[in-house]
Amino acid sequence: MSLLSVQNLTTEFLSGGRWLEAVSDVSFDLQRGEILGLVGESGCGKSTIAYSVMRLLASNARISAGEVWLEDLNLTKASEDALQDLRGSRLSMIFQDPMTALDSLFTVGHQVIETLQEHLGLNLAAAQERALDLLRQVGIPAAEERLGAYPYQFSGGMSQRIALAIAISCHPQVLIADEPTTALDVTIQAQILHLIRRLLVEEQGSGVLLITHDLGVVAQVCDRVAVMYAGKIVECGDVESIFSNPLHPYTQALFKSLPSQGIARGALENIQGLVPGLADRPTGCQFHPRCIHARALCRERTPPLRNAADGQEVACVLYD
Amino acid sequence: MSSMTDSARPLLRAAGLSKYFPLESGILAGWRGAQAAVKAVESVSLDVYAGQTLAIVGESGSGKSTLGRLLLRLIQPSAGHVQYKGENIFAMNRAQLRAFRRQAQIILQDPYASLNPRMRVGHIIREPLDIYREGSKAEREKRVRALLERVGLTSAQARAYPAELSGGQRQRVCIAAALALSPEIVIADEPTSSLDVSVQAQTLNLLSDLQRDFNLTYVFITHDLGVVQHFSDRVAVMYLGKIVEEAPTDALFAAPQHPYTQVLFSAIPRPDPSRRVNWELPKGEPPSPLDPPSGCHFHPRCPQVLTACSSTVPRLLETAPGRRVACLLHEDEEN
Amino acid sequence: MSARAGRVGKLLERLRGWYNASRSAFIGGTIIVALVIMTATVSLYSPYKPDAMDFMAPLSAPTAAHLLGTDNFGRDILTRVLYGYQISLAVALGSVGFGLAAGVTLGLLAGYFGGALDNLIMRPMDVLMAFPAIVLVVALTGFVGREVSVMVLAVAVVYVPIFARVMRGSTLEVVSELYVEGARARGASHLRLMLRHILPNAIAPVLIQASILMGIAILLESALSFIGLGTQPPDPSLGLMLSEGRSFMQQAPWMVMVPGLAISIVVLGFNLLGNGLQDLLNPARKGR
Repeated sequence: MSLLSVQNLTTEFLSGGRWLEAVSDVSFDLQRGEILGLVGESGCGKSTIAYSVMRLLASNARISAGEVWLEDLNLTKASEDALQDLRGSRLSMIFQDPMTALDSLFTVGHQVIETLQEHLGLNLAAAQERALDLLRQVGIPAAEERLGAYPYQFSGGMSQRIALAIAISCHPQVLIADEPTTALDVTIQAQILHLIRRLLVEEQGSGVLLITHDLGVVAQVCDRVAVMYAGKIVECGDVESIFSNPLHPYTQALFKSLPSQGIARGALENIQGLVPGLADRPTGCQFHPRCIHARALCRERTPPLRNAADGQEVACVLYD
Repeated sequence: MSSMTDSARPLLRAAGLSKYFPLESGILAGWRGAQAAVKAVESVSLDVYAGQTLAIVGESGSGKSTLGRLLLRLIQPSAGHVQYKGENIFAMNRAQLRAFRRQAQIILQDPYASLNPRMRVGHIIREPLDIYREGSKAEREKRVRALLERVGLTSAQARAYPAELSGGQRQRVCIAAALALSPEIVIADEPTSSLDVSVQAQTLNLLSDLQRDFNLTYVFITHDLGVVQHFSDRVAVMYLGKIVEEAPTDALFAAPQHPYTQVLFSAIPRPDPSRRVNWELPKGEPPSPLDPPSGCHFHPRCPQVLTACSSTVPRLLETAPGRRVACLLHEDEEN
Repeated sequence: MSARAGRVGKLLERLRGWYNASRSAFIGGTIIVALVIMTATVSLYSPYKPDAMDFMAPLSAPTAAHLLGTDNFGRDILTRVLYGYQISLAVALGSVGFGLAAGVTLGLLAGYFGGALDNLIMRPMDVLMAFPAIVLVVALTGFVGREVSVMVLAVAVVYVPIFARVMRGSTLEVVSELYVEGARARGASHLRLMLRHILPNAIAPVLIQASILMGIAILLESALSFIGLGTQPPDPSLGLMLSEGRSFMQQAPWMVMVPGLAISIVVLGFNLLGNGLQDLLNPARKGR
């Protein structure tokens, strides 16, 4: 059984009186001890998937089809009470802005200890000791003193460490990390990503869903990757396979548009046109208006995600 | 992109440039006597050559954006000066400054915040022409249409408000406005950092076409080393207000000399899963610019730290032609 | 015929758009516009003059001839209320207009240049603001004279520091926006920066304030007239009518109820408009 299984998930947003699909019929599995990267440009629906899994959608959004399973528990059918128990314990999330997870009115220590007491039922002394331990684990210097500090007294990198400490405090089985390092400097990014891998994946065997737009981050920390375009997964598989041999024309174009080291100077290849908005997504394959391989068929058929090579699935008629 | 020649005179030259922001302001600040200051930029000297691209690289708090603003006299320096074609820009009178502003433009980081939300796109691009009273009204409109087309927008989009455009389109508007007066030098402060990769690629291509067509000089302020390597001729790496290393791009990427540059390079997530880096390498957080470490600012995080590093401030010394580094390791080599 | 239907349809659509954008602003705006039209044209349709006395029907309850009754001199109350609105609105518009012009200019200059000029402008404003508004107005009207123009000026003096303060705060926010820095880098003059870039982006909170202060100006005018320092008899003013009606509350309650209600309606209109503007102009509502 997969740790987390997303099956035919469709999530819609209410806009101007109409329900528009932000995520369309998306399926993927997350295994224990694995980091799955969910990568795509802004507006592709990758964060919406995270919020759908956490059941933290805003009031103008709804899951209209599909199911999300955490082991044998159907999250889409779970009651709000049951979910509240799950969030922060078996299922955890960190955000791009760590302040989302921190309350500016309470000390950092208070917030970590509260989480521990609530979810693990520890007494105060045990919770304090564990909190101290956690802060040391995520690399907060002078942890004893810092327990009494307020969130505004921390830098962005330090706040993200604390958000991470809270997120991992109850040994979550699944961590959803939504652009956790986008706002941070590269040296801090490296440290945070390393912490996620070591503390969660290697030591606890948890699964991590890492949402990012940075292909470099995916290459460096993920085991598998799902590439999203306009609400759909267009390609999914092992990081090595996809980076060495991208199959979907969108994935190929995305890699070519990277101004990366080792590539000679000159014009970067780029994808013509713009990502379609929710209201004007095309029929058939979402990418066909911008695809250099597009044929007449692409306008009519929505290609399903299917096995194309070892450890690689792709949704494109080229590989039928 | 031409290579640097020794005889070439720099278009823009900064010497001993410093900017301190006092921590307290108001009536009482002076009365309390000596006051603390953030040393955002500390005695920076660098040259920008015509037709080239100089990248200024650094993490947040390195002072790179402050340096960019100093180079255009958008803020006053605490010490030092900037020469444009041999003329100190801080000593210019009104007319001279006006002429300088025509030739030196800036493109700002956030295309969402850098466009006046209550002005139409056409008006935004036309404004520099209005300010300098370029040509007749009809000529200005014609120029706006030409600029829109040049940056890949339609003339119909002149009627749009910024809110109606995507991030990439807005950045094109910013570029068109910066180019309206045919400047010689453009300072671009993180011009692509808020854009998606495919849009970033479109924008970088546009900037590089424009450089070729108009022989533009760029100063590119960025933290994205992929962009740096792709785009620049020379790189200056900043850490806590100081330049720690400066070198031609290819040489720098082939063999970074300063330990900070090495740490920075190793921390960049490369889009290549077969070459995973040692994630533990960079240690600690950048210290607060309020209270920078003594000696070499990088010494508490430096993997190759020497005893002398905490007390001796390293000088930015030439280690090879066109290459400078501020590190005791390399000073020793010289002696 | 169909072209006309199309035009009407378009108008309705636009009205519905405004209504959807902010119900509060729409209702408030409608009240104000309706009142302004009614009071501006009152001489065209009203069968009575405001000071025409009907000796046959003093203290008449509402009848077909006098829709909202008459006062102790047999003057038509509806007509007097509508004329009274002229004075109320004139005072409100005049004082807010003067206050806006002066306050916005001062606030913009103080916020934009800062430093010594900021102190030079804002410290006197603080002093002015520390004075209780009503005392200031009473003092001014008492010393200078009891004319509408003096009342307008007196209320304006109270309003200038309020507008200046709001404008200065909002200027300080906008002045640090990137687009202002960008325009400066392109060589824009101080005047251009202030008028083209800062003013249009900083004015919204001031306009919200203006709408609320219009309502308060009307209340101030009524209060002054009520205590005899504002509009003098026989001119029709809502506050004066209230005061005159006090003696006849038992026999003719409509003499106080009608002007009282009239004041409430116009103040409600301005407050609704202000609240609605707050929603409409709040930048948080505007998606990126």
